[in-house]
Amino acid sequence: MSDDALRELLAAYALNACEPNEVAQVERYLARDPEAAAEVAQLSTAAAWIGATEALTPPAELRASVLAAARAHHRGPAPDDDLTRLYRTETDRFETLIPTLESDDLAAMTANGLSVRDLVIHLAAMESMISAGLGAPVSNLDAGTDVDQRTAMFIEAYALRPIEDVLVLWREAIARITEWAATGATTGPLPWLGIEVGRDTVLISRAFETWIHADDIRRATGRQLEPPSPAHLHCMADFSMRSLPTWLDVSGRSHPGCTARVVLTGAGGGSWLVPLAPRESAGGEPVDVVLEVDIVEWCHRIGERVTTDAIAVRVAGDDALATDILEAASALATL
Amino acid sequence: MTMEMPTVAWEHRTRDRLIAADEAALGECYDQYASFVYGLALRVVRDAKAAEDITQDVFLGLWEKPACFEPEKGALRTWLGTLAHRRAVDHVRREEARRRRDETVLSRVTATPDVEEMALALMTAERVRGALDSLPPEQREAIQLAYFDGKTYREVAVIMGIPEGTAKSRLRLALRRIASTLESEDFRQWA
Repeated sequence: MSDDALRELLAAYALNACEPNEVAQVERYLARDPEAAAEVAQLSTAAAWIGATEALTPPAELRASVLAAARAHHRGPAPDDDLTRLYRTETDRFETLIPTLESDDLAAMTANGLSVRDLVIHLAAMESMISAGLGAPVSNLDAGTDVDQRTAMFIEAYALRPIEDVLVLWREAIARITEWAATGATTGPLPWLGIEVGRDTVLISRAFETWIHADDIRRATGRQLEPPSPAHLHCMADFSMRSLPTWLDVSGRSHPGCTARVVLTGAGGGSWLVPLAPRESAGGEPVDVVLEVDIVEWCHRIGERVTTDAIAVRVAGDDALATDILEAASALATL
Repeated sequence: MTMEMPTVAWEHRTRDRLIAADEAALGECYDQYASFVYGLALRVVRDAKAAEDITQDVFLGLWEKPACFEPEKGALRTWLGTLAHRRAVDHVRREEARRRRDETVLSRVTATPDVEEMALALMTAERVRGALDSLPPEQREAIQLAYFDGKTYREVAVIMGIPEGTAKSRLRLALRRIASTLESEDFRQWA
């Protein structure tokens, strides 16, 4: 549909009066045209006020019922720390994406070889594996901890069930992880690696995977990519810088005695001095190599969504060190 | 009753409190907007039980995902109203076939208007009612069919016996007219 035709649908969209198969097209148009999005915001406000002409006091008992339901649906302890908030924000953003997907969208193939629908199932399989590792299995499926095998079993088990069933499982796992995050635990499981890692690693890596898969879905269905907020991007990037010495070591690319400066540009960016071997402190200036890269591009690299050849990076100093850093950076994708 | 005006600052604070799982904040939102959400849902679905369910869903949606409400993008009223209307329209479309078979007369619940509802909101709703009344009849009918009866613009075209393009433009003209009426009434700072 042309942009002109889509523009004619904006009022119908604000009134929820588009044909079901047109909604996703309008939303994609809104994502790329800020002027149209502003018009829809204005028209939606007007539509809401039309609804306000019908205001009517609900039965008195409904208030207590809503508050009781809120208590029962408690999201878990308040995400009063930045990492839990990061995790919950990314899972919430993912969840709000799902109802906008049409059946064609669910069948679309994503970059990692799964359909959109199966990618949602994969995410539920992963989240529920952690939840099971925390001692609260949320699925009757005894699907083990091998990522590919577990994903395949979940895909088979949910093949004929509505996507909402998958979301129920996924939400339960998220609630359990959120509860665990508030218990003061300092470590948690990454069952597919068979190891215990820091609480921050669990929360950040899950938030990261959730965002990356949400963008996989957006990419596969022609939607605009939506990076996390600058503060959350910074949090993920900071985690990657703290982990980089270990990742270099694990991938056999450590360089004892060497230091890099990594400058991430864009909102949420910053500058980090990173030792290129574990258990070392960063040296001072001058450093052995400086890398300058956009923060979202850096995050795409650590999620293996851009190759070391394709990444837009400016390097000053030792090129071989820069290559090793970029190669090792994608280790987060395995967490 | 002392209730803060729903300014953008209030909405930001309330959102932060909801994110911190402050139940009292949900209660305040309910007190502020339950009549709006329930009345809107009831008008569309014409079923008191379904309207209660939708009202509950809408406030639970706010409770569970407060971060998805972004005050800088629009007012809480719009966010809640859009959600309530979408749920209500979905309900109507799902139930339509059943409704056609079952011609039961649905009675509207009797309830008194919420005396706590903010006077300003009542005044604005009154202005919008006036704006709706002053629309050309063909535009008013199109809005009634689309917004309150949950019809798509294509169904509006069929019901009114007009081309689809005309249905779309009637909806657009009517909604723009209401939006501009509201703008001229300078309601934006608290809408």
